[in-house]
Amino acid sequence: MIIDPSPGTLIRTVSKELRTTLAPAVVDPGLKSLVLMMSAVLETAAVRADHETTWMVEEIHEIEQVARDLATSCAPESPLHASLDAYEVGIPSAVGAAAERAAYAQAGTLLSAAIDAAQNDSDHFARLERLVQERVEREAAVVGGVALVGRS
Amino acid sequence: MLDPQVMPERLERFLAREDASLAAARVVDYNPLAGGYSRLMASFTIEHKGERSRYVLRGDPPPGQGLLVSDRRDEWNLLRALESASNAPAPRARWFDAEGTELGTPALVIDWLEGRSLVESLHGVSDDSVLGAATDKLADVIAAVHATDPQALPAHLRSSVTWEQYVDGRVAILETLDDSLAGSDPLLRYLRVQLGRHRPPPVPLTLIHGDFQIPNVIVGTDETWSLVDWERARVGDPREDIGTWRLAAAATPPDLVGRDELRFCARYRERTGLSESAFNPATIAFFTVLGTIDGYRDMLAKVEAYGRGDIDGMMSAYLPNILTLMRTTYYAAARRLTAADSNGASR
Repeated sequence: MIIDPSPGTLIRTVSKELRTTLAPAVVDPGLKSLVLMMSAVLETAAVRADHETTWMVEEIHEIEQVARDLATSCAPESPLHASLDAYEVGIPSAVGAAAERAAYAQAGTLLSAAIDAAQNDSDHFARLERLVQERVEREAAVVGGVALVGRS
Repeated sequence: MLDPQVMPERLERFLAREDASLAAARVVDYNPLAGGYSRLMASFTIEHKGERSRYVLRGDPPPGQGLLVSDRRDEWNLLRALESASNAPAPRARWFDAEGTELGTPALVIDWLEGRSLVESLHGVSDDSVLGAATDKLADVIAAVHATDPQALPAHLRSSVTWEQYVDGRVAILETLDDSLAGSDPLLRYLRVQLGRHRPPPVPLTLIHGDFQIPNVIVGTDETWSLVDWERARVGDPREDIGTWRLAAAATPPDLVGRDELRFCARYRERTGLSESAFNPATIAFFTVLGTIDGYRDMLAKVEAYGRGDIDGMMSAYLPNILTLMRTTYYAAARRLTAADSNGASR
């Protein structure tokens, strides 16, 4: 199997050609926007191909850690304990991209439960807030900023 | 509607049907317009008795293809009402093909506004005094929209809901969205918490534009400013328009509100009589989320349908980029809410 160049590199090459060679040659403004959208979507696919799995695994680990720390300070009847139990039972045992996605979704649900549980705990809430911020920043990194085709 | 080969003839038939005096009119210079994400648009010129007049055609895309759903009849009724009973700066609506029998899709014809978009007008401008004056003018324009007499609005915009009911309804969109997701979205949960902690004081509900952003501001050749694309207009909290502006400005600068938010707030309060506790950077941040959450919901539904393979198309594939922009801006707005807790300076 040829593994180099990476999928991200291949996708970026196509994206760049669309943006720098094809788009300037297109006169129709609607078609030009379409070509630039194609390029933008390919750019996001390239970043995801490069980083998505690593980022998901990192985030899952961080969420587990904060949720477990928070649970130690919550009363036994706190819904967070039930959420942690459900999370641990629900973690897929399989490996592969689909399993990572499922685990990431489970961790997201756990993070939401932790946010609910930490509303009166400013220290833990601040840690959870940072996790939300990290997620949002990585989402922004995937799309390469805030510019939208046809809007700037 | 985007085919310049057939549309002039269709328009001529339509115009003759609508106004017998235009039976001899000729349609020339038919040009599809790019830039709209949800409606089909084209400009065209009518030649009649030696005179030329330019117009814009706004029509529905084929079912399922528009980014957001709206009703051309509602837009037509609103524009007609604004013409007769408001200082809201809107283009005049001329003709309406409600069923699309002549134009191929439900569509309305509105006046072409001579001038250029505010985006073009301010392109490359860095002079603080020019941008500051533009900030003031923007406050004046949107305050004029919000001053529209509710009694003059068409029936579909008349409502007896209270501010509390209205805002609860908007919050419910966020809650329902969070609850309905397979695998909760922590950002939405975080927003629920922060919006719950920072509910602003009530203000009178007014007509709001609903899509208040810089590409929708047209600077006329006489320097008057007008607003186009009224398809998302509704009766709501006027602060929603300012929050929408801040969201859209993240992608389409300059942000005439965000560059000097205190100046904008002071000018808008002067024009509307709202108190400082009701209109300030924190209340704008609150409505940056709440004013646009229905659009987020609708686009997310499209993304999910695309993921299931129910719909296709380039715009569907591009939607996650738009949602990401919204999410980044939502988070920043929530942080501005919490910053306002620790320093009253933002007010």
